[in-house]
Amino acid sequence: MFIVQKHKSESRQIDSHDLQFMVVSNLSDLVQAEVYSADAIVLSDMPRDEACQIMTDLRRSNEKNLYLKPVFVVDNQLGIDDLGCDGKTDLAEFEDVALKTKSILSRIRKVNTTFIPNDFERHGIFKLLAYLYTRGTTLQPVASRHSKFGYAFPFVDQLFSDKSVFDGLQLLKRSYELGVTSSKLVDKIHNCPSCHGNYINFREVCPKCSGLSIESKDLVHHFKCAHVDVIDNFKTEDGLHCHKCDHKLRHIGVDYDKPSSMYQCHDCHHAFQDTEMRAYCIDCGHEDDTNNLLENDIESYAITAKGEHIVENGWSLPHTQTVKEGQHLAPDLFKMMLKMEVKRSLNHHHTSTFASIYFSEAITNHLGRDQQTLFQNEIVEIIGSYLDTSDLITSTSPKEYLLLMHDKTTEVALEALQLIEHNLLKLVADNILSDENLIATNCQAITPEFNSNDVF
Amino acid sequence: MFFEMSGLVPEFINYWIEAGPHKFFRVFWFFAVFEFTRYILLDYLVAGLFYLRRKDRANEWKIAKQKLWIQSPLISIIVPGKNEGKHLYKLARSLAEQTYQNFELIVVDDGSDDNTAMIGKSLEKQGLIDRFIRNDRRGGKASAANTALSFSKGKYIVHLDADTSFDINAIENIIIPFYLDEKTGAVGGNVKVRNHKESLCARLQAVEYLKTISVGRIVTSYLGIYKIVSGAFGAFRPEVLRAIGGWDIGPGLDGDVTVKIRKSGYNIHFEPSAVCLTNAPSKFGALTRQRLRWNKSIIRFRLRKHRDVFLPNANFRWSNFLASFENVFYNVVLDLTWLIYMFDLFFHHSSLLHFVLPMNLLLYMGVSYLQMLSVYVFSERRKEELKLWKVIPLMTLYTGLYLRTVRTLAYFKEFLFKESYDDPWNPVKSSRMAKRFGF
Repeated sequence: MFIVQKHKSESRQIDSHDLQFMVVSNLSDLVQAEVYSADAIVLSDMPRDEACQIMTDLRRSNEKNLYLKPVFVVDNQLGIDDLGCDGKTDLAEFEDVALKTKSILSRIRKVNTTFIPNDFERHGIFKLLAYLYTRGTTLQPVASRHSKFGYAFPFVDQLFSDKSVFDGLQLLKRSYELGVTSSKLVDKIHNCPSCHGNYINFREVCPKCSGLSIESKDLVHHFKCAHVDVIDNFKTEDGLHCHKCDHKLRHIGVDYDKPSSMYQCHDCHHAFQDTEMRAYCIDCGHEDDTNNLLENDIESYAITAKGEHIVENGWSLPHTQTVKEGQHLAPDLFKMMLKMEVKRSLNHHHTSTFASIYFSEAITNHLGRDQQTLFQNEIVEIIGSYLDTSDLITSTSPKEYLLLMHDKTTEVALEALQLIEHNLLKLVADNILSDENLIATNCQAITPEFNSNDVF
Repeated sequence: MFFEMSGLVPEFINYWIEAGPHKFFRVFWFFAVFEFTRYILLDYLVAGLFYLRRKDRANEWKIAKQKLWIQSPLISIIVPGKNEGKHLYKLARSLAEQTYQNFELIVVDDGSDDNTAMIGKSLEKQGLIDRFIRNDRRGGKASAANTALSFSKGKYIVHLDADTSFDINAIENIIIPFYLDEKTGAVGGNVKVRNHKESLCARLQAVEYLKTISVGRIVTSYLGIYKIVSGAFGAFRPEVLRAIGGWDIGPGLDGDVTVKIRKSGYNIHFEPSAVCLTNAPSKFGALTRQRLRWNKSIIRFRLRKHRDVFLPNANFRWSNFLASFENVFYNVVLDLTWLIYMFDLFFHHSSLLHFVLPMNLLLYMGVSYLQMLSVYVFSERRKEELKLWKVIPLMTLYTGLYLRTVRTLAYFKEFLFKESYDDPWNPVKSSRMAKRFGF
């Protein structure tokens, strides 16, 4: 939580371009009320640990105007690139900073925090999405000596304590799995299997005894007599001398050459050509084979259309969170359920509704085969997020989505369908094509006369 | 043609019966004096003695074997070679089957330009090879063998070619002779042809190997004049090898190192029960190149480098003299004598050629069968090798004409042009120095 430390008058407020910038050069300068009301914060000449503390307090806040607050640093504030500030300023010229601040603030206003999941993971992902959405950029990992992991993820790292280095990465990977972010490989890193630290000393050791005291010696091949030995056995005060044929070796390439080299272990006297590489963790002292190190992909992350949708509309609507397991059925199973619903309508006086949503070919033609599959999965998930848990959905192709809405009159179903259509159109317009006629919907009450075969 | 020849058969035999022994000896003196005495009389005499001593030998063997197993010394198996990666896995598996397992396997890659290094390192990681040494620059087989020798720790060294495979007790059996005689400096293994089914060329070599290696070396070993420990499978005392400076530049380094060991006062033993199989060239072109290389080395090493064994100096030993003499005489001298014999035949007996040539063929064929019979007596693979009897009629042409021609050509090339120093088998840098210093 963002905590007011102390109220001093040393903090400065700069009004520029109709915005209020709060210039902070000391942790104790912060006043919650001022931070809240300021449009952006500028960190100036501040020790790293204090800058860290401010950023952590801001990002861990649950209030979107705080955790998404634009933060800038003055040009000479070094060593805090990994904290995820929004840019630099020289305090004299604010035009660029103001433009960026306005852009961020306008997008913050679009962030819909009406429905925020209670669980920590989804809450964290939502904050990440909101950050990416308001900044309109990708989250780039920053190589950092200050991160135990070797890479810092601005914004995300501040959500977690220092010890949980993996949590930030896991949160990012989870966001990718949910399809709300896309990722691009930046680097591969190796971490200690014991403490996950990245500060590892790689040592060449003897493969037999793992001793460190090893020395490489050239082998010498004397052409004349084919004698081969380590160079030490040729060395004399006058140079190199072959003890097999009692000849002086004068000229490399003419009298002799060095075909290879051998390591000698001073501990166990083992001779070998290939050393074994061992990894020694500086942080915890754990030593292991390099093959046992944990390999992690370091990736940059960008928000997807689905992610933007969540930011703008909230993670979910009341009653439904997302497509529940069992809600999304294979077409055959859906057809069977539909038939059962028709039979059920004979005996009971209740009303269920069958609905369909069709996308124009103009949309799917824009997508490759793999993308069509992704698109289909995402649409199913998005539609599912508007449905009740008892509703069922199936998709026979990227263009066609069929819904069985239990115990809903066509009026209620139509209302939900219109909301779905509106949001899908908006989503498609933002990402693929903008046209009112791209999506068609239809709904029909399920009565005993309903022929389920007609719909497939 | 067949009917004409069949008409001649009784006539040429009748002719020689009527001509009498004097005339027969006058015409076939070369066969009677040199070949029949050496390859039939001597072989069968030794075979008889060998047979008579079989019980004593078996007892001595048993004691030596016990000594070996009590000591169980570490043996260094060294495999120098270039571009041998494709054979390494099979070799390692073959060695893993051995009855004697206390060995370290050292493979030296002599500057291979294929994937040998990758294979070798991989097998080393898997533990199938104990030490894989990669020489980035090719230095020749001798330098690779010497590299392995430098890093070997065993009480005995076994030198192998990578394309060989072994009878299950081959390693054990090649070491036991060191426990029979302390003066044994090296033991030669029994090399047989694995791919004899591949071609006629390989089958002919299979018979040749049986005759010259399996039986021939039993005889020379028994007589104490065994002269070449095969590079494909041989065992050495490392202290002896180190004392003589290991291997010198080849080709023919296996024969050379054997002479060096003999000259340093040690005996050489051939062990017929230490059997390894190797692939022989399956085409005559490759075989010709191989034999030209082998035969040049006789001139280079026996007559040039080690000519001192023929001289009465302080290190003179009759066994060394006879070993080299037998080798030089039955190869070089008799090849030249054979030319004189052929000249004599065509010059003095040209009118009798239609009697001489069929008789000559018959005699040599008879000798081949007799030799094969001795192989049959000694061999542990009698049944399998029975198939080889089919090609024996061709052995006269193979050994008497083809091999003799290749051999004679090699001698002239080496005598006149020292061609062995230009052989691509060795890198130029080494051959140039060897030629300069007369190695």
